[in-house]
Amino acid sequence: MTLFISLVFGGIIWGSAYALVALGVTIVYGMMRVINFSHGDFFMLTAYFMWTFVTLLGMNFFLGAVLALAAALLFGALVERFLIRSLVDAPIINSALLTMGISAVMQNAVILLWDPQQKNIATPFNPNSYQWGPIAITQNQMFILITTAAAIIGFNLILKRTRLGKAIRATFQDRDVAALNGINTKWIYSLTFNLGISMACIGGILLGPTFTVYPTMGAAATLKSMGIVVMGGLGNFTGAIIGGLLLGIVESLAIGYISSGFSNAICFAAVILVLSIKPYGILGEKRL
Amino acid sequence: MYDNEKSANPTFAERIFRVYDTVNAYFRKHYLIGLMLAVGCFAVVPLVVESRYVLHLFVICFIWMIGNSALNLVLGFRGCNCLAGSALMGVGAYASALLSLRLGWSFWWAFPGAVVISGLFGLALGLIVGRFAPVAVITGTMAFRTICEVTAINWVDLTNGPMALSGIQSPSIGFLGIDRFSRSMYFYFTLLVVCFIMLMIYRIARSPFGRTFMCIKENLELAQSIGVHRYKFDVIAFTILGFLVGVAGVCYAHYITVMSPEFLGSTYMNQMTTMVLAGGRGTLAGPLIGTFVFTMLPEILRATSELQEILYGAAAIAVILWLPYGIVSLPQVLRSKLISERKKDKKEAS
Repeated sequence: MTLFISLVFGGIIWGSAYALVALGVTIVYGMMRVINFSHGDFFMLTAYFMWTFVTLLGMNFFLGAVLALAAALLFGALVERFLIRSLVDAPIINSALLTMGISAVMQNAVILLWDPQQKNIATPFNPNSYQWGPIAITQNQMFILITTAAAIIGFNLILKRTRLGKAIRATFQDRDVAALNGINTKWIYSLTFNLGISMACIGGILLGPTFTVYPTMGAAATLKSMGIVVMGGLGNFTGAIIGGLLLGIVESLAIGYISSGFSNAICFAAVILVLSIKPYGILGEKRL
Repeated sequence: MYDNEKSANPTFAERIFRVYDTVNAYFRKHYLIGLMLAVGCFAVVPLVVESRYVLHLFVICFIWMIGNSALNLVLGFRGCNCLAGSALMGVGAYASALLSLRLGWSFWWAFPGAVVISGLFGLALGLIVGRFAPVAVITGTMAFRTICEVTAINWVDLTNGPMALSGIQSPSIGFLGIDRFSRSMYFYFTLLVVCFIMLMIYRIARSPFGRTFMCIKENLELAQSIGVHRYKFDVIAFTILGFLVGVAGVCYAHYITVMSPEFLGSTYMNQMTTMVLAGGRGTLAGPLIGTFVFTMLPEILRATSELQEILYGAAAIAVILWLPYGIVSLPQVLRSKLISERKKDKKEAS
């Protein structure tokens, strides 16, 4: 029982980070009807920038994180301007292929620009963990939990409480009417895409230093976020958070009780199982 | 769609397009002649080309043509967002490799056995994924690929894991005294299989069954209102995909003779999708052209593997941005560009 509780707790920590990254996919799909297979590669790119700033140039951890976020978002804005913008209203397989292309280019460009070796980012956190009964938590994990919660709440506040959020929601509901009311929908689209990307980038800042940094880490993240998002219901924010936590817990239990090699397969079997029972996801609606 | 009126003094572009139209119309009518001409062109290659490497490229190209044409049936004709082509192909390849290595079956017994196994995997996948929402199918098929990959890596007793299965025997014909296929024999063998599969896909695409596929793609509600059972058709589509792609997998495993879990990775999935979509989905020639271009192009450019992947990625981006209907639509795109510009000039002049 103790093992079970500690595994579930560990699953919630990783699951919250997964949920954050997956939230980006859901935002971009929900708003723009673009499925973003390069999402995880922004996650990877941020981690690489961070390695460059923190380990290579020896900057402060938090300063490096902010700079890495800014650099990755700048790149994201360029990608949106020149590539993603033409995908609005295109069939879904078009956006899948184009973003897969972006993903392939980014992964291999990273290999050419840096190198394919695994990298570690030094963190300023104390590696010892605090223990309360069966629950153990390190400073790094606390940092992940707090940042994730702050990012999700912050995004929710932007969306629900500000004028900008109102404009985003209006564009989501009906683009033409929103445009008639003086909303610059193109600008809203690029903003939405960058908001989505920023979720992946924050994920990169959180998980990059925790695990190692390598070129295909993004592909794994994309795959998991796709699973989470579809499991929760595409375009549904609460669904993505529930899906993320669920997948984190399933993964943690699979590693703890079965084997770490098969954990990925078990995660995706869980996704397929959920979708077989609810074809549109846990909170999904049929219209998608 | 296009202006067919013939002007008195055609420009160079118009003349070229007139010739193109005549040729195109002829081959549309007599597709068998076209197929035989194409096969004839390919069939002389081993007689003319000495290089074993070029022959190897052609064999690889033919094997991908089989797989991509089959994937096109689901991705193009049915319009289903299926990414499981390479995974099912890998299942076929692994099945054939295991049948011949572990059970000692010869190629000619392992071939149908493996095809049936990958067909059954396709059926199972169809039964599950057919119920999903259209977007969820992408994830479902990707999840299937991941499960296959993880199993192939971790079930070391069966698949040898990352160490790969090696020493898969090449096909032999006992009574002709051929104990293993030479490269040019493999060339003709795969060419024959491509023809066979293409004829089959042609028959499927032009049958009422295939037209129902296109109907589902164009308008699902309308199809359902006249009594088309979408789920049933999707399951059949995935089963056919499993069978046909299994053929490609068997050819691949026995040609390369080494089978590693890398084949089930996302690289090959992206590659297959790119070839089909860049060639032209929903057309018969599209996947063939896409495969040919994308197998030969990296070789011509002599790129390293990273640059090759970047090339694939960039090509995928370029095709989606500028040629959304693939390379086969290039003549039409060019025509509408060249000829409509001339009209504009005329209007401005008058």
